[in-house]
Amino acid sequence: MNQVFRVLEGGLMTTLQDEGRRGYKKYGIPSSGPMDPYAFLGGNLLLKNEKGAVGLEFTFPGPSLLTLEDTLCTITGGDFSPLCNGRSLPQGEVFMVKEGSVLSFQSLKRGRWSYLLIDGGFSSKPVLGSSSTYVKEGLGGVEGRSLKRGDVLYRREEGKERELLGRRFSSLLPTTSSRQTLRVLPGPQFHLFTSEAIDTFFGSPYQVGVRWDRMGYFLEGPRIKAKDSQEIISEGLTPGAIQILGDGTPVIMMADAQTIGGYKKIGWVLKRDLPKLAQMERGETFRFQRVSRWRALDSLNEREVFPIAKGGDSWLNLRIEGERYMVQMEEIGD
Amino acid sequence: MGKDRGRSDLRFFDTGESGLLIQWQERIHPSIYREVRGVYLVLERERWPGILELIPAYNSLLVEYDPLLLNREELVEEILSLYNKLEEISVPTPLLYLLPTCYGGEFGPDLSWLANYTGFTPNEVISMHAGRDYLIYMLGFSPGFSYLGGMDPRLAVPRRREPRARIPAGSVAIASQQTGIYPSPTPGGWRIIGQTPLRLFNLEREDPFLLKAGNLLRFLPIQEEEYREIALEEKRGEYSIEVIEAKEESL
Repeated sequence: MNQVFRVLEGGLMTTLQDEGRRGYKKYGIPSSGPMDPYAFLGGNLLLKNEKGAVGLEFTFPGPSLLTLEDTLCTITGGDFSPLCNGRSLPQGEVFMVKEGSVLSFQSLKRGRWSYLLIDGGFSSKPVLGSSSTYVKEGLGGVEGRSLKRGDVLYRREEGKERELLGRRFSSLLPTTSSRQTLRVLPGPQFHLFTSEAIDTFFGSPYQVGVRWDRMGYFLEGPRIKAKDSQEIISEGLTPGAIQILGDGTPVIMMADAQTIGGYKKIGWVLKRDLPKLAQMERGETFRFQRVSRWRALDSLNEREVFPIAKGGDSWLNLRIEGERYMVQMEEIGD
Repeated sequence: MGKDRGRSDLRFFDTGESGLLIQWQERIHPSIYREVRGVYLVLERERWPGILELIPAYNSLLVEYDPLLLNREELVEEILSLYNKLEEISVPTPLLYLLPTCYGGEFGPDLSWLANYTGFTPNEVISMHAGRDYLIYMLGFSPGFSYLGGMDPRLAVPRRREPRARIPAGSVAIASQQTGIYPSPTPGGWRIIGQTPLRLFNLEREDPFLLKAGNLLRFLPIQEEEYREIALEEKRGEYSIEVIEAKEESL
């Protein structure tokens, strides 16, 4: 186990994540895992990391890291203008950071969550089967918390594969599906909302409000009225659920969603569209589109295309414990 | 012959493209929960390929599944057929956990307030709270937090207006019609009447979760001295909670 980085600044919500914790929702423990699984997995694919590799997730301003050993890595997801010793780093490309150099992030260009993945993945002792950090209960990652100054990050295995250097996506943006639409399948309390409320919900622009974290995003936009104010009996809750609070504010549950909730749910955002919501920027508006069960099932066959410009494999289907992400890799040639 | 059941008893809702919520009648009642528990335990036991997570609650069961391995119609049919022969399926007898609890004093700072509010003496409150078995309907809110049903309605009190910044782990508390136990230290507005020296959620234990949904719980009043002894044993990993098989009808 080699030391790879010392944390100079922790940044905001900087945590180690793997693909998530499975099978503990019945005890009240959420799945956690990356907010944008596409960016996370795409980066691990670039590095040819094995399934279950642990990566670093953060939001802007990002951490500042002192490199303790030459390491192959890549940065994916939100673009926070990554720098190495003050010089710009490419996004979505495998590069080498040299011992003694400092990785940092300069400005928020795009997105909300960014990922630093390293060759072999970070080392972190799994808790309840996963290294994903769940800060609220102090599980996983580095002592169950966000990173802070002085922490040291370790690499799981000895570095390898220098030929990965320069492997990159030829495009960073998903080439499929409209960015501004989130597809929604109606949920158990759909019928408890007035038809005006439903029309408003599907007919109005929304944006992510000032309260957001790994647990949920509070939305700004028209409030939604239920037919009455009666509470429902608490029931299971999972990521993607659109809860409508008592005052009509929609809140979409994310990776760290609690497992039981008592608010009415108008519907669920499709898994396929949730990473898009996760990356939605301040001020960026989107709309909800109601879809049928058949359209929702169809969404599982959509492919996220990350064309790889160098040393790409032809095709890859990614499967993560039932949450299926398709990633296509194309050889494009320089 | 079992009770005649029909598909009208259950309602099925999508929770996204890979989730199904099975809803029973909209009522919190042991008889309804008994059916939730039955279906939940059978699904747990049979481990159908494609079922990823199960979240049982008062009158519902949420199933997360892989729609590419298990199609929804199939899942609904299987659950209905399972539901219709539920009476013939044997599920494990519920367990009754005996949870040592020290009431009042530093462990239950709100006990005398609660006694005043409800018009009972502190000792009466203790025997009312400890004198019955509670059904553990579900775990959630935080790891291992137990939603208990069956509290004496005369003990119902409003939450504190100002939540406490930190409620110690193991606190036994009451808020409106509910009583519960805090597994880990957290802020909270419930009225604290006692504390158990046992840890409900402990990663160092082979099974980190002390209590399981669908079982019963009884609070066992102990004195401060005993509390400290048990706390020491618990810390050394030497204490095991007393568990007895409950009578089926008590569920």
